[in-house]
Amino acid sequence: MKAKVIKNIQINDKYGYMVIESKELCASSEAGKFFMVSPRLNNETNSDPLINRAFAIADIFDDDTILFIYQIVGRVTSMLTTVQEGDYLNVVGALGKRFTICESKNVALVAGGAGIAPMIILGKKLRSNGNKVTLFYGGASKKDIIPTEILSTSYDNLEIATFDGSLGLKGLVTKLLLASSEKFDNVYTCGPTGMLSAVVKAVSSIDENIDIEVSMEAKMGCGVGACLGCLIPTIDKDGTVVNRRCCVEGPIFDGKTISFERLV
Amino acid sequence: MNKNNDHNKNNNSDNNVKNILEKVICGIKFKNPIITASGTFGYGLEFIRFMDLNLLGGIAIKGISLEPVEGNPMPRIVETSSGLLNAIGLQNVGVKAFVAEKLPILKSFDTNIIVNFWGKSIDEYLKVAEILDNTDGVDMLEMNISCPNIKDGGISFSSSPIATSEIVNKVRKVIRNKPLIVKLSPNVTDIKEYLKVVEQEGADSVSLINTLIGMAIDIHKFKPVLANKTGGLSGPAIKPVALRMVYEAFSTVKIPIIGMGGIMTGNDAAEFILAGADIVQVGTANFTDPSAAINISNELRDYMISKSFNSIDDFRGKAVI
Ligand SMILES: Cc1cc2nc3c(=O)[nH]c(=O)nc-3n(C[C@H](O)[C@H](O)[C@H](O)COP(=O)(O)OP(=O)(O)OC[C@H]3O[C@@H](n4cnc5c(N)ncnc54)[C@H](O)[C@@H]3O)c2cc1C
Ligand code: FES
Repeated sequence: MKAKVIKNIQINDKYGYMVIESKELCASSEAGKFFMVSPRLNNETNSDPLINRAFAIADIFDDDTILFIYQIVGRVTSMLTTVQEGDYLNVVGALGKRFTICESKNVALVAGGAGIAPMIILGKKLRSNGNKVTLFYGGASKKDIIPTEILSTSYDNLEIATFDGSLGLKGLVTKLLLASSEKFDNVYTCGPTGMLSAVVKAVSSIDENIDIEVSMEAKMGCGVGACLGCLIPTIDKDGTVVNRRCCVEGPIFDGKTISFERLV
Repeated sequence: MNKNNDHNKNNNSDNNVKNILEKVICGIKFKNPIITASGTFGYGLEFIRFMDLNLLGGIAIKGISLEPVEGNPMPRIVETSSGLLNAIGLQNVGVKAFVAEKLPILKSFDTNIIVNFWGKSIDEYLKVAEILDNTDGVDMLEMNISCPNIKDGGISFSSSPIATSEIVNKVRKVIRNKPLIVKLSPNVTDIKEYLKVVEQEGADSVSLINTLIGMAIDIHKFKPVLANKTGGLSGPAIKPVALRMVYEAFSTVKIPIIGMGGIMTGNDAAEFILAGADIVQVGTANFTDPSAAINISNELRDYMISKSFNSIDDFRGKAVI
């Protein structure tokens, strides 16, 4: 399906964001879901790069436009910086499972780098459901923290950590979480796999009963459940390891079920 | 008898208008010559929300084995220049679960169901072939003798024309009800030898090409990207090789040829038909656009109209005769 580019803004040399228009994509979009972007713009048929890239739904406006945030890491994300207003992206989605939305709870969102994207729409949704939302947001440096106006109304409290100390607390985002005096009922997290693993550990060290949902990342060949390239090892209640497709059974998983040590 | 003989599988609602895309092979009518390739279209059901499966010529189901198979460790896929390298390891739910859980839903669609199958031994091939041959709702069987991924699997059966001849001969004897397609590996010196033995042993059709064995190296970790080290290459990168082999098949066998390898557009499909394919399969394109097969079918029709071709046979092999 085609999505018209309404806005494409370069935040800095590491991040950009785009607003695209597609009623169809919006109709199936929810907090936690993602969509695939083809490396082919408009009616192009070039085959290199070939495979679509996954991006989280960051926000929805007026039931017809979608915000997504891209971290410039490689070929397709570099290409995205050249996209012009009025161009069409070829997209597939929305895909995957959404976050579970709790009600009237004290909630922590923990985001690292590009993992901030789904937290924006999630934070808004949680707040509209009567939850109090604290956003812990970490990055390597100041450049990895996107401007707060894009974060919109997604949190009640915002705490920032950067690894080099150029903004907020110096250190990892888990340090913020562990230092917090708040008692959280639910935690949601998205970011690099190493961070997710650390967040799950930190949360269970605070209280085993805190619910934690993680948004996992995997290399995706199709995004629709067909290629079986995106498996995430999970552990069922009876202890058996079951590989689940990140694109269909995920990307949102119960954090306590992920077998992080099996992830390469 | 086969459900295809009972139904009119014509794509056009107006039966007076000739469907120029229609093609019959092995007594099975295809409303268009586009089949989604095994391993790139799951069990078909994954795609229901993206397209009307009734519009497909056929669906080749991912390789089914006697028992469920977990497949290879991760990473299993890596993108390469205009291609995708995969080492999934033939993960599948096994024939029992396929027949019980997937097929009943698939059967409700008006398209041909081609079940790709394989075994770890001749005995397993025979057992799974026999079950599928006697299963209602399966229109054709596609035998995989060429999957490069599993160390103790398919590879040995396509390692020599003699081994190929033996397995096709035995499987042929247990398949009594449905047409048998043999899917060939491109990882051989001379594909013509394999084509000849497959036809001699009674295959009803050949499909080619399966993936080309390849490798990608991580220059920072100093090791192959795929956990399996090697994988099967698909996508536009392999199209010229596939076309050459379809062309060789056209001059070697009389049985219908199903061509595949990197088809992304209707024009690509036309190239395969011009090289001698009766029907084509669309593989990796399903990953880049879940409705690719239907777009390709429509583009092929546009191409045919632009060239005043009234049927597939009007231009099949035209480039190489
Ligand atoms: C469900 C999901 C949601 C995502 N949401 C977002 C998002 O909202 N914003 C965002 O910026 N990114 C997101 N990503 C990651 C994004 O898909 C990758 O950054 C993108 O595919 C990189 O493409 P590229 O062509 O620029 O990089 P490539 O040229 O393909 O690769 C460049 C480098 O990035 C690494 N890389 C590529 N793909 C991934 C990946 N999926 N995960 C980790 N490393 C990778 C490669 O190994 C390589 O080192 C998401 C991924 C998933 C699976
Ligand atoms: S990306 Fe293909 S199955 Fe998940």
